[in-house]
Amino acid sequence: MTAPAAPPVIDIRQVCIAFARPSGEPLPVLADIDITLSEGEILGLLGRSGSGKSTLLRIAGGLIKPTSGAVLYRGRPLFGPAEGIAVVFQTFALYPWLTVLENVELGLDALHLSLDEATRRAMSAIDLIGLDGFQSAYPRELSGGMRQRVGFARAIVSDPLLLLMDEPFSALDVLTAETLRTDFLDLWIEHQLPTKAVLMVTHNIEEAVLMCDRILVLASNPGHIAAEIRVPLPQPRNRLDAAFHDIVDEIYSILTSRMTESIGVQSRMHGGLAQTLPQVSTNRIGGFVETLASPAYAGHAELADIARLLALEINDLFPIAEALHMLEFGEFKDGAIKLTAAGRVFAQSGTDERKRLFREHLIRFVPLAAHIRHVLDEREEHRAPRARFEFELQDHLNQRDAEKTLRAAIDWGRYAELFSYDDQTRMFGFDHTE
Amino acid sequence: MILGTQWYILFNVIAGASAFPSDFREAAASFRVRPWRWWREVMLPGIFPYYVTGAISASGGAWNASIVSEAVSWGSERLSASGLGAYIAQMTEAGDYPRIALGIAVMSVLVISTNRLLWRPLYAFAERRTRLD
Repeated sequence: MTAPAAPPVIDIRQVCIAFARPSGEPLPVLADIDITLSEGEILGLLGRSGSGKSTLLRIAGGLIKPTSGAVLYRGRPLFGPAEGIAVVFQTFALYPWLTVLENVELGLDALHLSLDEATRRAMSAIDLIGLDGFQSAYPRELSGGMRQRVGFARAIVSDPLLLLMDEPFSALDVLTAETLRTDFLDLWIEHQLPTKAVLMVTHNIEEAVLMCDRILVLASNPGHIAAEIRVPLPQPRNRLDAAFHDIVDEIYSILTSRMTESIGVQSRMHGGLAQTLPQVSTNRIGGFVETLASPAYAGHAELADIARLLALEINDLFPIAEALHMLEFGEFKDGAIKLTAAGRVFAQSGTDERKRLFREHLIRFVPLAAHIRHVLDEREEHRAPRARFEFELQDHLNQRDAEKTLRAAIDWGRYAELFSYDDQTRMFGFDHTE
Repeated sequence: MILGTQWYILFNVIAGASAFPSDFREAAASFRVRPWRWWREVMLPGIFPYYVTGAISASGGAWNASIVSEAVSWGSERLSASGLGAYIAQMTEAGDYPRIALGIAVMSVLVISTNRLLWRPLYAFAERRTRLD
């Protein structure tokens, strides 16, 4: 018989969370989440904004109570922030009126240590994280990278078992982020941290593959776990390894197939009016298509490569990808994108030709845009209030998505000169020149 | 007078508390900072600039009220205390222009010096130490 295994560090069971909408009915944010985080593991939560991943991290930290379901910390129910759990924040969350040392000491306050002991432990965390010499500085005197080091020092100073990291590197520039990642991984691999497990939220696919042993892909509306990917590569990992690249590609293909699937489903429901439109400016679409059409790619590229080239994280990349897919300027297969014939023409055209092509595709493939135009055509005065379409969309979408979708439709419609919109009167119409 | 002007402070402090960043709150909650330290190192410094703004408005209002109420006339009844406000009021009634000028000059000096010696340093301190950026 084997010895009973230690209980998982954190065990999230059937957790749901819903926030109250102004109208009173609940807005589900997370549905039926099951996560088990064991000792020795770095678990990544990967998803686009709005998938509820930060909310999930706060549930694991006892900062938010789930609407239903249970959270067990080392086998016991978690009722709030607990000893042994520490959080690193995306915004650093350092108090500007405290010095580095005082900020770090705040992480020890709950442990009831003597002043000397607190200072000694804070100094050793500051040393470990590479901040020695900065202890008397105020946060505003430090660069972003140094500030996040303070964030790390404050989190590890209490020797937490579980470290929760909420997009800890996303506010940093590329080089600084990489330094902090590898520094953290070095400490982790060499067991210099007392921490037994890490839960990390990210929207950077390569970061997830570089750091995590397991990655959960979160999808939205409401947030749920769409896929689980194990990363069996030994640390330290090399971004240039073929195996590394394969896993990154695998994640991209999971995300793209989910994307094309959900667009397909949405476009078949309710005459396409249930389709949420991504808020992407036509400039971004243009820039992306041009890059893709350049000789280097000749209209075909792995999303992983192009994301790296343009330094796009999934929050930037996927809205563009969605727009290209909807407008049929691009086709997706296994994490790669290929420009359609129309996409190629779009890339090579001048402004007027682009607008004409965009307009044509907007009418054909975006039912909402075609619908707005149709309503305007039907009416004698060629004007229609925004509220009319808002109500229509709200039959199928929640209020926030309806709002966003209408805004995207207005932006695209204006670019295509399909219709105009006056925000003062909140009316759609045609331009007088037409 | 105090009751009438503390609203300035109250509303400014409420505005400050609601503008307090939520991640500062969450960080303090997750590190389970104890109440004494929570007030001293987390919340009070965060609302300090708002308190100063409120206090400036409150002191201005209070001073204004006190100077006016030093000399009150109601029909034939006259209530008068000794002080700068009463002095200026009496001199105005007597038409003694040089003394009116003196009264106003003294008042201006008082206003400017409290501004320079008290409020500006407090403001500068708030700006330097507790700015959120």
